[in-house]
Amino acid sequence: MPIQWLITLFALFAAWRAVKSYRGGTLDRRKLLWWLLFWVATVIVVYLPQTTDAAARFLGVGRGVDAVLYVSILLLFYALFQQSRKTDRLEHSLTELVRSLALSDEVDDQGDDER
Amino acid sequence: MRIFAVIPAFNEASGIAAVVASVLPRVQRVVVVDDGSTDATAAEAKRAGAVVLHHRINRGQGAALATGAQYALRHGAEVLVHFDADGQHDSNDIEALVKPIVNDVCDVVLGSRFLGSAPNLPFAKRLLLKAGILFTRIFSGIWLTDTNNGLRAFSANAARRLPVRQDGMAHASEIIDGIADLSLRYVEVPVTIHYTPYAIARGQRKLNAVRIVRDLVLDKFFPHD
Repeated sequence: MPIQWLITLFALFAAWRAVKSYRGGTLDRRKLLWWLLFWVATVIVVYLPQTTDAAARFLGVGRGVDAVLYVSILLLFYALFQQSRKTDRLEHSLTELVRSLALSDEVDDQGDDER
Repeated sequence: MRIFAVIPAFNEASGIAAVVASVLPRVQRVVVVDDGSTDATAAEAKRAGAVVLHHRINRGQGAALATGAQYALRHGAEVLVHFDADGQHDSNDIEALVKPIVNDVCDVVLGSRFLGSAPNLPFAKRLLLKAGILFTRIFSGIWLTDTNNGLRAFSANAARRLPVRQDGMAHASEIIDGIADLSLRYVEVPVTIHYTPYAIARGQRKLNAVRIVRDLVLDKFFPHD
Protein backbone atom coordinates (compact mmCIF):
# COMPACT_ATOMS: atom_id res chain seq x y z
CA MET A 1 0.00 0.00 0.00
CA PRO A 2 1.34 3.49 -0.86
CA ILE A 3 0.91 4.67 2.74
CA GLN A 4 3.29 1.94 3.91
CA TRP A 5 5.96 2.99 1.42
CA LEU A 6 5.46 6.59 2.35
CA ILE A 7 5.85 5.99 6.06
CA THR A 8 8.82 3.73 5.45
CA LEU A 9 10.49 6.40 3.36
CA PHE A 10 9.81 8.97 6.03
CA ALA A 11 11.12 6.70 8.77
CA LEU A 12 14.29 6.11 6.75
CA PHE A 13 14.65 9.83 6.24
CA ALA A 14 14.11 10.57 9.93
CA ALA A 15 16.54 7.83 10.98
CA TRP A 16 19.12 9.24 8.56
CA ARG A 17 18.65 12.71 10.07
CA ALA A 18 19.14 11.26 13.54
CA VAL A 19 22.38 9.55 12.50
CA LYS A 20 23.52 12.79 10.90
CA SER A 21 22.79 14.71 14.11
CA TYR A 22 24.69 12.08 16.06
CA ARG A 23 27.71 12.45 13.79
CA GLY A 24 27.43 16.23 13.99
CA GLY A 25 27.53 15.97 17.77
CA THR A 26 24.06 17.41 18.47
CA LEU A 27 22.53 14.06 19.50
CA ASP A 28 24.09 11.74 22.03
CA ARG A 29 24.40 7.99 21.56
CA ARG A 30 21.55 7.13 23.91
CA LYS A 31 19.10 9.43 22.16
CA LEU A 32 20.23 8.13 18.78
CA LEU A 33 19.46 4.59 19.94
CA TRP A 34 16.00 5.61 21.11
CA TRP A 35 15.17 7.31 17.84
CA LEU A 36 16.40 4.38 15.78
CA LEU A 37 14.35 1.98 17.89
CA PHE A 38 11.33 4.24 17.52
CA TRP A 39 11.57 4.36 13.73
CA VAL A 40 12.21 0.61 13.45
CA ALA A 41 9.15 0.00 15.62
CA THR A 42 7.15 2.35 13.41
CA VAL A 43 8.10 0.41 10.30
CA ILE A 44 7.24 -2.90 11.99
CA VAL A 45 3.81 -1.57 12.98
CA VAL A 46 3.23 -0.29 9.48
CA TYR A 47 3.84 -3.71 7.87
CA LEU A 48 2.47 -5.86 10.70
CA PRO A 49 -0.35 -3.84 12.28
CA GLN A 50 -1.53 -6.93 14.13
CA THR A 51 1.54 -6.63 16.41
CA THR A 52 -0.29 -3.82 18.17
CA ASP A 53 -3.50 -5.78 18.67
CA ALA A 54 -2.37 -7.19 22.01
CA ALA A 55 -1.73 -3.70 23.31
CA ALA A 56 -5.08 -2.56 21.94
CA ARG A 57 -6.94 -5.39 23.66
CA PHE A 58 -5.15 -4.53 26.89
CA LEU A 59 -6.17 -0.87 26.59
CA GLY A 60 -9.71 -1.73 25.57
CA VAL A 61 -9.41 -0.24 22.09
CA GLY A 62 -10.84 -2.21 19.14
CA ARG A 63 -7.97 -2.06 16.68
CA GLY A 64 -4.23 -1.90 17.24
CA VAL A 65 -3.89 0.93 14.75
CA ASP A 66 -6.35 3.03 16.73
CA ALA A 67 -4.46 2.39 19.96
CA VAL A 68 -1.23 3.53 18.27
CA LEU A 69 -3.00 6.64 17.04
CA TYR A 70 -4.42 7.56 20.45
CA VAL A 71 -1.16 6.99 22.26
CA SER A 72 0.76 8.93 19.59
CA ILE A 73 -1.48 11.95 19.95
CA LEU A 74 -1.13 11.90 23.72
CA LEU A 75 2.64 11.70 23.45
CA LEU A 76 2.70 14.47 20.88
CA PHE A 77 0.73 16.79 23.12
CA TYR A 78 3.02 16.02 25.98
CA ALA A 79 6.09 16.66 23.82
CA LEU A 80 4.58 19.96 22.72
CA PHE A 81 3.98 20.91 26.33
CA GLN A 82 7.56 20.12 27.30
CA GLN A 83 8.89 21.94 24.28
CA SER A 84 6.85 25.01 25.06
CA ARG A 85 8.10 25.07 28.64
CA LYS A 86 11.63 24.77 27.40
CA THR A 87 11.23 27.59 24.88
CA ASP A 88 9.63 29.73 27.53
CA ARG A 89 12.51 29.19 29.92
CA LEU A 90 14.95 29.94 27.15
CA GLU A 91 13.15 33.15 26.17
CA HIS A 92 13.08 34.20 29.78
CA SER A 93 16.80 33.56 30.26
CA LEU A 94 17.52 35.49 27.09
CA THR A 95 15.54 38.47 28.35
CA GLU A 96 17.33 38.30 31.69
CA LEU A 97 20.66 38.27 29.90
CA VAL A 98 19.76 41.17 27.62
CA ARG A 99 18.46 43.08 30.64
CA SER A 100 21.54 42.57 32.77
CA LEU A 101 23.75 43.64 29.86
CA ALA A 102 21.62 46.76 29.37
CA LEU A 103 21.85 47.66 33.05
CA SER A 104 25.59 47.05 33.31
CA ASP A 105 26.28 49.08 30.13
CA GLU A 106 24.44 51.98 31.66
CA VAL A 107 26.66 51.91 34.73
CA ASP A 108 29.78 51.90 32.52
CA ASP A 109 28.60 54.77 30.34
CA GLN A 110 26.93 57.19 32.63
CA GLY A 111 28.14 56.38 36.10
CA ASP A 112 25.84 55.79 39.01
CA ASP A 113 25.04 59.46 39.32
CA GLU A 114 22.33 61.03 41.38
CA ARG A 115 20.93 63.97 39.54
CA MET B 1 8.90 62.77 45.00
CA ARG B 2 11.35 61.17 42.63
CA ILE B 3 9.36 60.40 39.51
CA PHE B 4 10.93 58.38 36.73
CA ALA B 5 9.36 57.96 33.29
CA VAL B 6 10.13 54.69 31.49
CA ILE B 7 9.76 54.80 27.72
CA PRO B 8 10.28 51.59 25.75
CA ALA B 9 11.31 52.37 22.20
CA PHE B 10 11.83 50.22 19.14
CA ASN B 11 12.89 52.08 16.00
CA GLU B 12 11.37 55.41 17.02
CA ALA B 13 14.25 57.67 15.94
CA SER B 14 12.02 60.17 14.17
CA GLY B 15 9.83 60.99 17.14
CA ILE B 16 11.64 59.97 20.31
CA ALA B 17 13.44 63.28 20.92
CA ALA B 18 10.18 65.24 20.95
CA VAL B 19 8.58 62.73 23.33
CA VAL B 20 11.55 62.83 25.72
CA ALA B 21 11.59 66.64 25.61
CA SER B 22 7.89 66.82 26.46
CA VAL B 23 8.19 64.41 29.40
CA LEU B 24 11.48 65.63 30.88
CA PRO B 25 10.17 68.81 32.58
CA ARG B 26 7.55 66.77 34.45
CA VAL B 27 9.74 64.06 35.97
CA GLN B 28 13.12 63.66 37.65
CA ARG B 29 14.47 61.32 35.03
CA VAL B 30 13.43 59.91 31.67
CA VAL B 31 14.64 56.38 31.01
CA VAL B 32 14.41 55.28 27.40
CA VAL B 33 14.85 51.55 26.89
CA ASP B 34 16.04 51.10 23.35
CA ASP B 35 14.70 47.64 22.57
CA GLY B 36 17.16 46.53 19.92
CA SER B 37 16.44 49.37 17.49
CA THR B 38 18.31 49.39 14.21
CA ASP B 39 17.95 53.14 13.74
CA ALA B 40 19.22 56.14 15.72
CA THR B 41 16.64 55.85 18.53
CA ALA B 42 19.28 55.60 21.28
CA ALA B 43 21.31 58.58 20.07
CA GLU B 44 18.21 60.74 19.59
CA ALA B 45 16.88 59.92 23.04
CA LYS B 46 20.22 60.66 24.66
CA ARG B 47 20.51 63.95 22.81
CA ALA B 48 17.10 64.94 24.18
CA GLY B 49 18.27 64.31 27.72
CA ALA B 50 17.13 60.78 28.53
CA VAL B 51 19.09 58.03 30.24
CA VAL B 52 19.30 55.33 27.60
CA LEU B 53 19.39 51.60 28.32
CA HIS B 54 20.13 49.40 25.38
CA HIS B 55 18.66 45.94 24.76
CA ARG B 56 21.11 44.31 22.38
CA ILE B 57 18.30 42.35 20.79
CA ASN B 58 14.59 43.07 20.62
CA ARG B 59 12.76 41.48 23.56
CA GLY B 60 9.38 43.18 23.39
CA GLN B 61 7.66 46.05 25.13
CA GLY B 62 7.00 44.20 28.38
CA ALA B 63 10.66 43.22 28.69
CA ALA B 64 11.78 46.79 27.97
CA LEU B 65 9.45 48.21 30.61
CA ALA B 66 10.76 45.73 33.16
CA THR B 67 14.36 46.71 32.38
CA GLY B 68 13.47 50.37 32.81
CA ALA B 69 11.70 49.61 36.08
CA GLN B 70 14.72 47.79 37.43
CA TYR B 71 16.91 50.75 36.59
CA ALA B 72 14.44 53.20 38.17
CA LEU B 73 14.14 51.20 41.37
CA ARG B 74 17.91 50.95 41.68
CA HIS B 75 18.19 54.70 41.34
CA GLY B 76 15.70 55.55 44.02
CA ALA B 77 12.55 56.18 42.00
CA GLU B 78 9.48 56.61 44.19
CA VAL B 79 7.00 56.81 41.33
CA LEU B 80 7.33 55.11 37.93
CA VAL B 81 5.43 56.24 34.86
CA HIS B 82 5.07 54.13 31.71
CA PHE B 83 4.95 56.32 28.65
CA ASP B 84 4.80 55.39 24.96
CA ALA B 85 7.50 56.42 22.52
CA ASP B 86 5.25 56.93 19.52
CA GLY B 87 3.78 60.26 20.55
CA GLN B 88 0.25 59.03 21.30
CA HIS B 89 0.47 59.97 24.98
CA ASP B 90 0.17 63.48 26.31
CA SER B 91 2.74 64.58 28.89
CA ASN B 92 0.11 66.95 30.33
CA ASP B 93 -1.54 63.84 31.79
CA ILE B 94 1.45 62.87 33.92
CA GLU B 95 0.59 65.21 36.75
CA ALA B 96 -2.91 63.77 37.25
CA LEU B 97 -1.52 60.27 36.79
CA VAL B 98 1.05 60.45 39.60
CA LYS B 99 -1.12 62.48 42.01
CA PRO B 100 -2.96 59.53 43.63
CA ILE B 101 0.41 57.88 44.28
CA VAL B 102 2.06 61.01 45.63
CA ASN B 103 -0.94 61.40 47.96
CA ASP B 104 -0.63 57.71 48.88
CA VAL B 105 -4.22 57.00 47.89
CA CYS B 106 -3.26 54.38 45.32
CA ASP B 107 -0.43 52.00 44.34
CA VAL B 108 -1.23 51.88 40.64
CA VAL B 109 -2.86 54.47 38.40
CA LEU B 110 -4.07 53.47 34.97
CA GLY B 111 -4.78 55.90 32.17
CA SER B 112 -8.11 55.50 30.45
CA ARG B 113 -8.89 56.95 27.06
CA PHE B 114 -12.54 56.08 27.51
CA LEU B 115 -12.78 58.25 30.60
CA GLY B 116 -10.73 60.90 28.86
CA SER B 117 -10.72 61.51 25.16
CA ALA B 118 -9.42 59.72 22.14
CA PRO B 119 -10.12 61.80 19.09
CA ASN B 120 -10.06 59.84 15.82
CA LEU B 121 -10.07 56.44 17.52
CA PRO B 122 -10.66 54.03 14.64
CA PHE B 123 -13.81 51.93 14.99
CA ALA B 124 -12.05 48.57 14.60
CA LYS B 125 -9.63 49.51 17.31
CA ARG B 126 -12.43 50.62 19.60
CA LEU B 127 -14.07 47.22 19.15
CA LEU B 128 -10.79 45.42 19.85
CA LEU B 129 -10.26 47.44 23.02
CA LYS B 130 -13.79 46.77 24.24
CA ALA B 131 -13.21 43.05 23.72
CA GLY B 132 -10.04 43.39 25.78
CA ILE B 133 -12.06 44.95 28.60
CA LEU B 134 -14.45 42.01 28.62
CA PHE B 135 -11.57 39.53 28.54
CA THR B 136 -10.00 41.29 31.53
CA ARG B 137 -13.27 41.24 33.41
CA ILE B 138 -13.57 37.49 32.92
CA PHE B 139 -9.99 36.52 33.71
CA SER B 140 -8.92 39.11 36.31
CA GLY B 141 -12.23 40.03 37.85
CA ILE B 142 -11.38 43.71 37.56
CA TRP B 143 -13.67 46.16 35.79
CA LEU B 144 -11.68 48.72 33.88
CA THR B 145 -12.81 51.13 31.22
CA ASP B 146 -9.58 50.70 29.25
CA THR B 147 -7.24 47.73 29.52
CA ASN B 148 -4.59 48.27 26.88
CA ASN B 149 -3.55 51.76 27.74
CA GLY B 150 0.22 52.10 28.01
CA LEU B 151 0.06 55.22 30.16
CA ARG B 152 0.29 54.13 33.79
CA ALA B 153 1.96 55.04 37.05
CA PHE B 154 3.18 52.84 39.90
CA SER B 155 4.49 53.38 43.38
CA ALA B 156 7.98 51.93 43.82
CA ASN B 157 6.50 49.28 46.07
CA ALA B 158 3.94 48.20 43.46
CA ALA B 159 6.58 48.21 40.72
CA ARG B 160 8.74 45.97 42.84
CA ARG B 161 5.97 43.47 43.50
CA LEU B 162 4.15 43.26 40.17
CA PRO B 163 5.07 40.30 37.97
CA VAL B 164 7.04 40.98 34.79
CA ARG B 165 6.97 37.59 33.08
CA GLN B 166 5.39 38.64 29.79
CA ASP B 167 7.98 40.05 27.42
CA GLY B 168 5.53 41.00 24.70
CA MET B 169 2.31 43.00 24.61
CA ALA B 170 0.52 40.68 27.01
CA HIS B 171 2.33 42.48 29.83
CA ALA B 172 -0.60 44.93 29.94
CA SER B 173 -2.94 42.15 31.02
CA GLU B 174 -0.28 40.71 33.29
CA ILE B 175 -0.17 44.01 35.19
CA ILE B 176 -3.92 43.94 35.66
CA ASP B 177 -3.83 40.31 36.84
CA GLY B 178 -1.07 41.34 39.23
CA ILE B 179 -3.15 44.20 40.63
CA ALA B 180 -5.93 41.71 41.35
CA ASP B 181 -3.63 39.03 42.79
CA LEU B 182 -1.74 41.42 45.06
CA SER B 183 -4.87 43.41 45.98
CA LEU B 184 -3.16 46.67 45.09
CA ARG B 185 -5.09 49.94 45.37
CA TYR B 186 -5.74 51.22 41.85
CA VAL B 187 -7.65 53.93 40.09
CA GLU B 188 -8.25 54.95 36.51
CA VAL B 189 -7.73 58.53 35.47
CA PRO B 190 -8.84 60.09 32.20
CA VAL B 191 -6.07 60.62 29.68
CA THR B 192 -5.89 61.86 26.13
CA ILE B 193 -4.58 59.61 23.40
CA HIS B 194 -3.53 61.29 20.19
CA TYR B 195 -4.29 59.09 17.22
CA THR B 196 -1.89 60.65 14.82
CA PRO B 197 -1.41 58.73 11.57
CA TYR B 198 2.08 57.82 12.80
CA ALA B 199 0.78 56.45 16.09
CA ILE B 200 -1.95 54.48 14.32
CA ALA B 201 0.52 52.90 11.92
CA ARG B 202 2.87 52.01 14.77
CA GLY B 203 0.09 50.93 17.10
CA GLN B 204 -1.43 48.44 14.73
CA ARG B 205 1.84 46.69 14.44
CA LYS B 206 2.23 46.59 18.18
CA LEU B 207 -1.29 45.85 19.33
CA ASN B 208 -1.72 42.52 17.66
CA ALA B 209 -4.77 41.10 19.42
CA VAL B 210 -4.25 37.60 18.10
CA ARG B 211 -0.75 37.49 19.50
CA ILE B 212 -1.79 38.91 22.87
CA VAL B 213 -4.56 36.34 23.26
CA ARG B 214 -2.21 33.58 22.19
CA ASP B 215 0.42 34.63 24.73
CA LEU B 216 -2.15 34.82 27.48
CA VAL B 217 -3.87 31.55 26.66
CA LEU B 218 -0.58 29.68 26.32
CA ASP B 219 0.39 31.20 29.62
CA LYS B 220 -2.73 29.77 31.24
CA PHE B 221 -2.08 26.28 29.84
CA PHE B 222 1.65 26.10 30.25
CA PRO B 223 2.57 27.26 33.74
CA HIS B 224 6.03 28.58 34.45
CA ASP B 225 8.38 27.04 36.95
